[in-house]
Amino acid sequence: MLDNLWAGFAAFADPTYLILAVAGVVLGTLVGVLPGIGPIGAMSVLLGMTTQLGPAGSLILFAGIYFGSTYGGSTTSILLNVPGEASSVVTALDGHQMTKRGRSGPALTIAAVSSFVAGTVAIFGLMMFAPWLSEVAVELGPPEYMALCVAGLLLLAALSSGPTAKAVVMIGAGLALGTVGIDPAAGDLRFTFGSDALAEGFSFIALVMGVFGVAEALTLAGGRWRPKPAKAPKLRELLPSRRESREAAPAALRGSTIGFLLGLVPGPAAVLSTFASYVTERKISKRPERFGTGAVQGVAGPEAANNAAAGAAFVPLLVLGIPFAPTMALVLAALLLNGIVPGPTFVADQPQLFWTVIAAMYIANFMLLVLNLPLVGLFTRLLAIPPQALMPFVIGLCIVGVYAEGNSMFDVVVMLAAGLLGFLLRRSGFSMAPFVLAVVLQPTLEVSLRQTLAYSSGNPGYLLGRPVAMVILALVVVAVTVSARRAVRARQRERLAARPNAGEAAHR
Amino acid sequence: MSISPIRTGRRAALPAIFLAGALLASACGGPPGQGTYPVRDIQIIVPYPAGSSIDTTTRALAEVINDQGTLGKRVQVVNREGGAGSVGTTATLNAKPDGYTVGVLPDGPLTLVPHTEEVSYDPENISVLNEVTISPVLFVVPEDSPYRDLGDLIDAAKARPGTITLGEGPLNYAVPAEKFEQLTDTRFQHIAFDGDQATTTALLGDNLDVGVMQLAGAFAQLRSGKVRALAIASAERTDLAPDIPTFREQDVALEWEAYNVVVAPPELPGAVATKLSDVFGSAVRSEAFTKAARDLGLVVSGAGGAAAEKRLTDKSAAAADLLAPAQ
Repeated sequence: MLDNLWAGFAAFADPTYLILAVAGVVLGTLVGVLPGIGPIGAMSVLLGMTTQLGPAGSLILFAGIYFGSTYGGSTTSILLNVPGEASSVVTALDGHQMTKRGRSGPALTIAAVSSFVAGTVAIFGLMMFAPWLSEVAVELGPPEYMALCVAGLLLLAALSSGPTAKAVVMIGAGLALGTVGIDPAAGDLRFTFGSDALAEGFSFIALVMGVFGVAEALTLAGGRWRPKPAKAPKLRELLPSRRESREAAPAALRGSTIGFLLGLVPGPAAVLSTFASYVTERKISKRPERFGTGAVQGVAGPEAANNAAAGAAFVPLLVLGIPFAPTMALVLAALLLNGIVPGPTFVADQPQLFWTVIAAMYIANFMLLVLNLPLVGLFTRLLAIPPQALMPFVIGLCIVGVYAEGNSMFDVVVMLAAGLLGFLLRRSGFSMAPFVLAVVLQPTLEVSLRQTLAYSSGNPGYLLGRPVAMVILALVVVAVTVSARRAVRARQRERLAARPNAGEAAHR
Repeated sequence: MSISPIRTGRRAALPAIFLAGALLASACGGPPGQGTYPVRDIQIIVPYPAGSSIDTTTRALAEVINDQGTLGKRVQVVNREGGAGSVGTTATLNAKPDGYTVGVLPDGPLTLVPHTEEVSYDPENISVLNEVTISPVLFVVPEDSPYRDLGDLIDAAKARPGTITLGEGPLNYAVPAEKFEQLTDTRFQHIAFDGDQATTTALLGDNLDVGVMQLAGAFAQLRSGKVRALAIASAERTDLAPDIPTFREQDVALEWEAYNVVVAPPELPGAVATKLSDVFGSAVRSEAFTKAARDLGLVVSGAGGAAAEKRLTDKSAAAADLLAPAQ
């Protein structure tokens, strides 16, 4: 297995891959630093290029963006208290407090090193788990895939931020749009209204570029954005003290473990894992009162967790072919565009590609460490670029990208329409992540559902003979119930708190 | 279940966009017909995305043609995917018949799809130049399956009609599955999978009793020994997998192969057709291409235009009975 990993690293002797890794990491940090544009936006804009890059090249680029963005997000969290990404919201709690106390340098270093540690842990995890999981995953049949798709969608709706009802609406919209075009089982044409363009279905790339790329650019342009000037620490101020390192190390390891395990489970793992790690650190700390005032563990744990979760999220994607997060959906799209269908036989059939991906993650983490700490000043200065200057550039890239991918003006129209619609829906509080995931999972969900129906001849009792599917579905029911009850209780508490004095209703 | 004839109603006449695209493609680069053909590069349309099996095959072929240099100009592969191959087929057959647009097409859109769906091209009216590769259909079972040969399977299916699961998929899988049932008077529980990879996974996970697959799609797993083939639907055993007995050897008259063919729009000038057929034919028979195709599990054909056209017509006729609107 080490030979395989070594071969994966050897692929980076190819300078193209190395350049792609650097480009991905820098671009990822960039979109992580800039609020508004996230890794999904960046990946969707670049999706049009993936056939030129080949499967390994696109995976390397996307892994760099993915890891870079979590890192970039924490930079602004720490320096400005502006989380660039959802996964760095928790980092802001203690990270920015450290900045206020003049320890911004150590906070940034701890975040970077913790991410690196987590990357290492995640790679060992992948090496141990992925081949084993592949063997287990082969046994999964249509009913299990159906259950996993349902789990992925419902957990995303129940656990992600924002109102669950709106997420469910977006899932419904995504599933509905996914049915347009050729029926995957019988070859029937559905909802095409006699149009040849619709016979191919809506292009996933056009939809994603629309609701993420274009809609994000529009949102950015609409908002007023005057970031405070940030003071980036000098190079020699970056080293943490001995006490800070001693406190950070175990927290980073715990965070890595939590993140990795959560990353394997369906749902928005990267964000959840930061909360889980933060809560754990506070619970086991001897001085929990220090959390929120600049506790080192509060930076190290969550930063490690989101990175490990990001790495682990590749496992279900590569082994099952099912993405559980929108970023992974884009990685899947890049693979499919290159004619590679990940699944239980992927690790055995494409060992070279698999291990190159693993090596890519590691190299991305390493580059973040060596590139970004010295460049912190540069990245924070990027915040001064007015979004009005960035927006036309992003939209232009989207148009070129989507046209280049399919040579079809219809796709461009679909993208622009999706962008406009996405922009309006966003303003009304609808989240686009569930929509995108639903569009991606729709074919798998439909095919596995229809196959399950064929196996069972329509008899629901058949599912009783599929314990794995039953367990997955049962877990979904439990998770949804728990989260619904928690939401109800939170609302009651809020209402109670709002009555005597309106001061405390801080969390929503 | 199995094969449902599709009534699409009318699919509006060809949208202008295809015609425009095809015209544009053939109009670029100056007036054709002056001097000796070809005066500019030729595009090969592939109706599936980059990276698909037929795309890999075609790109290997294009490389050989460009290396051999007998054409005098280069060939370029253009992917026009979508509509289960119908988009690229339409683009090929409705292009200007000047020899600057050819397609490497799977036979499905020419022989099978027109029976079930209204298509915006005429499958009868084409210039068939060469046959490139052949992919015979196989019946594949998991390694530890109780069925050792076709006889076992037929006996079991007769004993328990409608319970043994049979994985099929697109028409090139569904039709032979149906035909097998007719020939042997058996009935299976059909499950549709969307390609060889999905079928393989289901077989490996013991979620499927028998899979209808193509040799190319089953090749890797057959070699690793994780699945076994009960029978191959070619006239004779193939030297790519000489251990697999044919259906005929086991007294079932099933022959079903999928082909990739080089076609051009109808009314191609004779000289152009001859030139293209020679260039593609010698590339197909070249050592470099043969090796590339064999590695993919594809049988290299190399049959000329007339033979290839007859095979297409025969297959279409055979499919017509099975695909006749019965339900």
